[in-house]
Amino acid sequence: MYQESMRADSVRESIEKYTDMVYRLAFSMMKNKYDADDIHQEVFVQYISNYETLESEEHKKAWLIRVTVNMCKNWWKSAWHRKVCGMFEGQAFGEQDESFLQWEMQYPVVEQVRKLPQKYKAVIHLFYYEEMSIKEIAEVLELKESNVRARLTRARQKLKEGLQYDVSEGI
Amino acid sequence: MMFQKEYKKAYDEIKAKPESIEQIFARAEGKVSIDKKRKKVWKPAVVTAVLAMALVVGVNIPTLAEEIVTTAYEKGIIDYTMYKHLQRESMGTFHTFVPKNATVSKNGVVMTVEEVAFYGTKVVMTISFSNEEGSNFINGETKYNWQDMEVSIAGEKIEIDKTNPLKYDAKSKKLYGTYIGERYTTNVKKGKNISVCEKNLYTSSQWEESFDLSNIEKNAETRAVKLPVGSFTYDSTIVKTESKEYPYIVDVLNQTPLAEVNQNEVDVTGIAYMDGMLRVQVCQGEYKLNNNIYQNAYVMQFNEEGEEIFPNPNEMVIWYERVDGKLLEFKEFYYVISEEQLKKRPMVVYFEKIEGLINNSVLEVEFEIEE
Repeated sequence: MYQESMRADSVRESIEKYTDMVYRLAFSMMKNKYDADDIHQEVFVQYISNYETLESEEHKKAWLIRVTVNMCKNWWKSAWHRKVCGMFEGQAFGEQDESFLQWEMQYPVVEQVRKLPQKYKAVIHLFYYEEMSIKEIAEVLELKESNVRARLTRARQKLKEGLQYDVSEGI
Repeated sequence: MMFQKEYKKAYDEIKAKPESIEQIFARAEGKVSIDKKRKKVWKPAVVTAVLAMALVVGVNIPTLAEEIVTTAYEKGIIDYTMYKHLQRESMGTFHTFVPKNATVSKNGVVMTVEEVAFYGTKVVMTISFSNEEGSNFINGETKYNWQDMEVSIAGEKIEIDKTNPLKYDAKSKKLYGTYIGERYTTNVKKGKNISVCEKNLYTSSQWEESFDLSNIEKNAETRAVKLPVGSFTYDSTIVKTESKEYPYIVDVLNQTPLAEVNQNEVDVTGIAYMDGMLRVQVCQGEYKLNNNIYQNAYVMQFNEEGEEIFPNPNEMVIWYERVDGKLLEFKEFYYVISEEQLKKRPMVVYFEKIEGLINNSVLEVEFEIEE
């Protein structure tokens, strides 16, 4: 019982530590906060099943990022999403609520990033928000460093068109 | 800074709901309950829903094989998102079978479709590659890759979702891969044809090499070579040539004597900084028509932030030179860059060697959907 209780505390502690990181990453890749909520919870449900195999903090963080990105990708690919989301998109967007729309209007960079193809969003978010290096991003997403660099370059090119300034300048 | 500052400020405002942690634990607990009690609780509700839908749209009432879906999830063939989707929303037939005659042999390689499974609109196939008698193409020492897999079911081309990397099983001496495709329908009709076509099974190796440019050669020796037709436009402002029409003669780097050039592996044969340009020369090995070997090198430079600076060279020339009876292919990249910028940036060259099955390596097989 004591050990179970200790394990539960350890899991809770990890969830509390990484909850915002996972939520922000999901939010950056999903269409609305409801889907981000769903992904956020699913990631940690999976974490609860798998935490014992994750040895270090570094490993946990990498695992959480990777699973979040993969879940977001799978969500977009699912036929259910394609069939249902199209029908209810207007509703889902309407249910987005005013606060989200105002948030997006306040930060033009967010709107432009959300227009990017899916595969660029995670790299942009991990590089600019989590301030991870190319090497770290490549390891976590199980990509080659050249792929990460290429995605960043192309994302910046697209953002430059939308924002009318060079995203890579002054960094 | 502007972009990053604004992006960070925006996302600093995004936080998970405080109550989400308790919801997570409740959901995890609920998953365990569902696994144990599903037969009693879930089935009637979904059957009712499906029957209602069947009455509305007039489709065949599908067979619900919840055990198959659970097994697929437990095996890792489908992830939790798909598992939940199939539980909650599935309207399709769940069916698996081992095809009887789904094998093809060509050029020393045998491709077999080992198992086919339908989960809703997903089709999942386990495919293996092994050696024909006398061949050793498939072995445990080499890294393999596959691409251009085309699957069609009853004439419908299936959109590829993903293919898992090939893994070698030493016991069966086979390479195994999983193909997951997305259909537009959930119907599974016995007797209909499935066509599986793998167009490109190959071995691949990749490696990279860093180069320190702090003592880069600035007065490199050059040699004159003739560029083939189509490889050069005479009005290039970067590559100099005296002739304005074919044959174009250009001076390329001559830092590696031809006799010492590696004829088998792609390799860097020259690096210099001249006339305000970084020049990188690569030999791609022996050039053969209808060769099943493909080799390439990509030159990249990065700034202190690790950002890619030269994804594309300003100019590139390709030419061929004969050495010991072999025709070698060369490339030389030209990058316009200041010397000061050059020194701050490490250069990395990525190499890739791909070898495929020779001569029409398409492996194609057709078989029927079975019980």
